[in-house]
Amino acid sequence: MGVDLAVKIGKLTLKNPVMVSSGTFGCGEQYEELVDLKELGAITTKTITLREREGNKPPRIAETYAGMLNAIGLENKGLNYFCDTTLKYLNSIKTPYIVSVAGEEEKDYSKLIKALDKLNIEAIELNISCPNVKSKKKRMFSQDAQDTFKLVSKVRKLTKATLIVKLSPNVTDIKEIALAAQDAGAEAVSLVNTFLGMAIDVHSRKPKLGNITGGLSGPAIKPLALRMVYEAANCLKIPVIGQGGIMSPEDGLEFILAGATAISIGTANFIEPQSAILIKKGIEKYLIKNKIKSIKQLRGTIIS
Amino acid sequence: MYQEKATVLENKKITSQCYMLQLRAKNIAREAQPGQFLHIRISNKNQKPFLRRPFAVHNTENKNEFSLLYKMRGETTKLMRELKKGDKIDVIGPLGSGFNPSHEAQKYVLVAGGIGLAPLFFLAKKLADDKKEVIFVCGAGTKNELLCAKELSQIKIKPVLATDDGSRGIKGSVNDLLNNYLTKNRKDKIEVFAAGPGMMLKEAARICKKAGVRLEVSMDEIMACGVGVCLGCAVKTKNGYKLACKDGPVFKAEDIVWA
Repeated sequence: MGVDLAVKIGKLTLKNPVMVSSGTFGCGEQYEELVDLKELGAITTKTITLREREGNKPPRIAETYAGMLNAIGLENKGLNYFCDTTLKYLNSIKTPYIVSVAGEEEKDYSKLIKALDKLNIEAIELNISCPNVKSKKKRMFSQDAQDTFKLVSKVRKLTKATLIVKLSPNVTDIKEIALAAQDAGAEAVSLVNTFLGMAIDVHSRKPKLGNITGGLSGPAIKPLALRMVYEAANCLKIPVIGQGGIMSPEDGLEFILAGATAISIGTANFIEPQSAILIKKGIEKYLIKNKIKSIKQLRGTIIS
Repeated sequence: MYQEKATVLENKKITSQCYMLQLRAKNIAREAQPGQFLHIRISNKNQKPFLRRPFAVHNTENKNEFSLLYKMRGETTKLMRELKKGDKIDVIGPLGSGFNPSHEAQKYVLVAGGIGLAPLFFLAKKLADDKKEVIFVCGAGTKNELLCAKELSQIKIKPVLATDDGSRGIKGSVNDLLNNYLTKNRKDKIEVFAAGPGMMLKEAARICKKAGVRLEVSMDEIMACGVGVCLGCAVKTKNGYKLACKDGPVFKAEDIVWA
């Protein structure tokens, strides 16, 4: 007897709700020898920008209690390389993919979205929450409801692709930002991106990251992310993709109970490349054991 | 690239600070090349340490065994020290791009600073198998910290030694030995391979550049994924940032922009 794991995110149908997060899985190719990519609900690509970005100066990573800090700085080869090379690979595998994009200003996003729309990309994630890249306004778009609304409204008109907006947890009220994204026409929100943090080496008295500050991910942030997903899901009509420190099936189930339609695995991939598949299997077992026919029936059923 | 549960065959203390861990995992052992590394998962119940840790392949034997050499440094190595025969650990590998000795050189000089000996032993063994002339330069703080003298003699290599306190070999650094050697053997076609602390590699690069000799270095960087997706282990090169896990850990010294 099978259970129904399929979920819909905008126009995209995922055969299971467990995807992999941007920046933690490349475009899948790097893991194809270790992971059966067909088993993934979806792959969100490493964020691309209009032009190539060199990334931040090292060190770019520091391990912390139950997590890690990163300040990669959106290193990527740019839109053209993506279209000419990475996309061929993504189209050759049988896994739905979501292209993550970022820019410094509105017109960067517009150009990226137009170019991807021409190529009939099915789903795009607007990364407006990278903590290691400053927009022209010296803050992330997703740190201001109006900025979020304006940007999403603008690019919404430029594509038929499913538009997902990735939100930052570094805000006072996540509901306000999430609603702004929904009102502007986003078909889903994805949260959370990393929490701004830092670490210092007491021997050298230097910051552990070349960029001084970075984004914190891993199980250390899970309760914080879960609270934000819960709040967002309770005020939105569109699906929430929950993420932030998910390491186990139980972690993933918590996000679904809190109201997430799908979940995404990030940092856990570095430790166990099979994480998403193992979590999917664990969720399936839970549904069978609890005689729940469909993952959709479980969503948001926290008893409070 | 494989992910295997490797079985511990032996975990032996070889100096006051260093251990040799012998493991069995057939795919990794079969494919590993000198200079490549393994990403091992070893943590306690609280997921500490959190990330995997990279270790150079020190040697492969009998087609399905390999070994790692590790120095006590922090939580990971403390847990590694506790491993017993029969235990299993999760290993991803072999990873990265290793040493690329050409076939043309007359002499191959391997320069090991401390635990930097780990990847170079494997290279020395391969070169010795190919009947190449290997000069193995080893350094440590004091004579009791020198590594693998017996193993090197088994492959008929007599190491040239330097210690900080002069208790064995010359009193000085491996780079002093390298510099002397290159100065005395100007006419030979030599290739140099080095692994060790960053400052030592930088100095080796300066010496080799001055002597007009090709040098490859194995870079040790903080890593998360180990497979080229997180872009965390950036190394600054003349052609922009490269990844220690994918483009390296072995790089041509002339390409590195030294800090």
